[in-house]
Amino acid sequence: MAEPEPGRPPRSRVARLSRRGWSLGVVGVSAILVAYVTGRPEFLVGGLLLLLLPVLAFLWVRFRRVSLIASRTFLPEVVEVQAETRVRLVVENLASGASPVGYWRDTWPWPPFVTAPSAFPLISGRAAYGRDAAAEQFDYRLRPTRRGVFEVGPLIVDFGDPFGLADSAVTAVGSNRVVVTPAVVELAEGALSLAIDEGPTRMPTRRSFGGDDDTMTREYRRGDAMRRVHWRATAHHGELMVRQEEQRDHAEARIVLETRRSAYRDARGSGTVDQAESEAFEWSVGFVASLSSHLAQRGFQVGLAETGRPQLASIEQPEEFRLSLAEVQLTDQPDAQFSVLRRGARADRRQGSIFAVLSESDDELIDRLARRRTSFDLAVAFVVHPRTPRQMATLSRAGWVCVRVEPQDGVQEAWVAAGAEQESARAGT
Amino acid sequence: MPVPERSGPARSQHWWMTGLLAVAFTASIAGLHVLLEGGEWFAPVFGYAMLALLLAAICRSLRAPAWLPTLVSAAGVLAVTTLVFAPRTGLLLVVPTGETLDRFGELFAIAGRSIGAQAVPADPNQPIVFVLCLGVAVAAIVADLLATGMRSPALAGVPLITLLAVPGFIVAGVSDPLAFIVVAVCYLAMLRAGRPRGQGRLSLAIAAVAVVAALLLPAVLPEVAPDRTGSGQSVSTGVNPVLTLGDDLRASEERTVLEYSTA
Repeated sequence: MAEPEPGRPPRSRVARLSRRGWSLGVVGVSAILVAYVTGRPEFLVGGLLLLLLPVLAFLWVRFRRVSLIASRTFLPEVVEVQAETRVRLVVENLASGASPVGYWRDTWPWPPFVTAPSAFPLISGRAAYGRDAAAEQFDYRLRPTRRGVFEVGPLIVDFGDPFGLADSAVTAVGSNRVVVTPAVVELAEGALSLAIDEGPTRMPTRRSFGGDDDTMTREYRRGDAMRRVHWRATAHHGELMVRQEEQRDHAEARIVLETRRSAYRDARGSGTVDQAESEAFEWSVGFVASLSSHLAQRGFQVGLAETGRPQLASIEQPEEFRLSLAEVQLTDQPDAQFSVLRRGARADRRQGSIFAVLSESDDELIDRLARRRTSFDLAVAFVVHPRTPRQMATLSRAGWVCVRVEPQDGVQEAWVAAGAEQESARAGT
Repeated sequence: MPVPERSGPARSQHWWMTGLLAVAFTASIAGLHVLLEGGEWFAPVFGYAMLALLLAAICRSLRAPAWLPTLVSAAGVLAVTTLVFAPRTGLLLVVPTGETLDRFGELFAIAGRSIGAQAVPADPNQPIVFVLCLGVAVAAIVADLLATGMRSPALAGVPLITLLAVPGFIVAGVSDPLAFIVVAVCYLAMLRAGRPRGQGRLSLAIAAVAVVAALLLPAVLPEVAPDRTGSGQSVSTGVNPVLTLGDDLRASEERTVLEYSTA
């Protein structure tokens, strides 16, 4: 199907003779010729009938007034990739006459680009229905295969003449936007031991009025750094206690997402409506969606840094954030303000966990990440579809947990692999 | 742009289709009256067409496999022909034997001679009626197979038109316009079968305009002048033996078949 040129309305109607129509026409013309050659008037009458039928049918499907408007509502309005949304299609007939009877197909930007044809009933015209336009409602299910913001529509109505001699496809004006967000995968609990599993807002109150020691400490949990153990309180309680004021810092998590076009070697310059620009980038965005949701649910204060021009909304506003995840694209413009650390954070203070989702990033970024390793308790890099393992080696040497990912890998797989990598790194040291 | 595949007429509609074919064949057969004297020939020819159509339709309503109705219909026609036109030659009266086929050949030969010798309107003797019956039965079986068996009613027009064209082939300008209208209407109704419903008035309008215009337009078009110097060979379809009737009848006319000169 040809893409309609921008600025020009798409051709609203296609009409043609069917095979049956052509056959009748050809037989009709032959009969007329036979009539004149052999001098038999009966053949002229028969030939004229056979010729006139397809001609009339074609004229009718080509020139009958059709004025349809289609509008859609999606339920849910924002849908995840591979999830299902119900489309409610309302088609109004604005013409004074009844609509043609035929089949409708709705178009969307993913293969196979149209829905299966279904019966399109007669919608009476304004003249027959009083002043209000008559409408008909159809439902179908849509399962988007790609992330993004897409136009669904226009609706195509196929109709023919009553004898099946000519067919026409007419578009019902109107398309509607559907937002497709990356699929959020529930990441396995405990695959990766994060510094602290609960954030400040969800911290159960463990305060007692026993004394100063108690107010600021809590019991030791797996993953807490030894240097944070509050020895006095430990002696007092008879079990390992850690300083709680450290909590705030460790409940932070930082995600670095590579969004520069130059950093993805499978980037094709620009995406088309049915194909993503870079599969590696699609994986990265999908992973960030799952990871940020995983962290946010556990009370982490998640900060997101993009290496390119900022496009993502703050994770504090979940709706806007989901929308921005649907829309984010590769960019040529680097973010001049990009910082590995949270703005205003001191490099010498521990800042919880950092996750970097990278691909073929430049050495400058890799060096910055490697240098900042010491500012975080946990640093995990997911490197998507890299050309060489060189950068992963650089990061690993600096103490990053590195996971190599291919675009076809599952998000959960990568997450579990990061856990395994962390275990082996610990065992190694 | 691809248009969705439209399914042909549903199986349940086959009686409706058979009815339309029956009416169309009746009209076509009646249209032969301009060629033949008297009216006794009509009953057997009409009976043959109905026999072929009914056998196929009954067989179909018994949910037989798709290929069976045509076979049953053909076998039935053959059996009745053996019984009626070659009595006492068939096995159990109806199963044709070598002797039956000899008799059929003989009838064909007599019919050919008879048609060649007679002028229009011809006297419908038994051999001529025999040829007409068989021809009409073959046309009916083929039309039924196309319209219902193969679900393409448009093609079923071919045997119908062939039959309707017989008078026109034999003598120019004697065809019955009534037969033409009835067949045209039946054909259009057959094309309608299996299409979306609810366009009744529209179908009527298109059909009426086409039929009326086809009948009236020849008045304003250049006149069809009978051409007596014809090419010598008449159109032969090979499908319908009734057509050879026309060729043979015309053989009495004088015409130039071949011219040659030597240098």
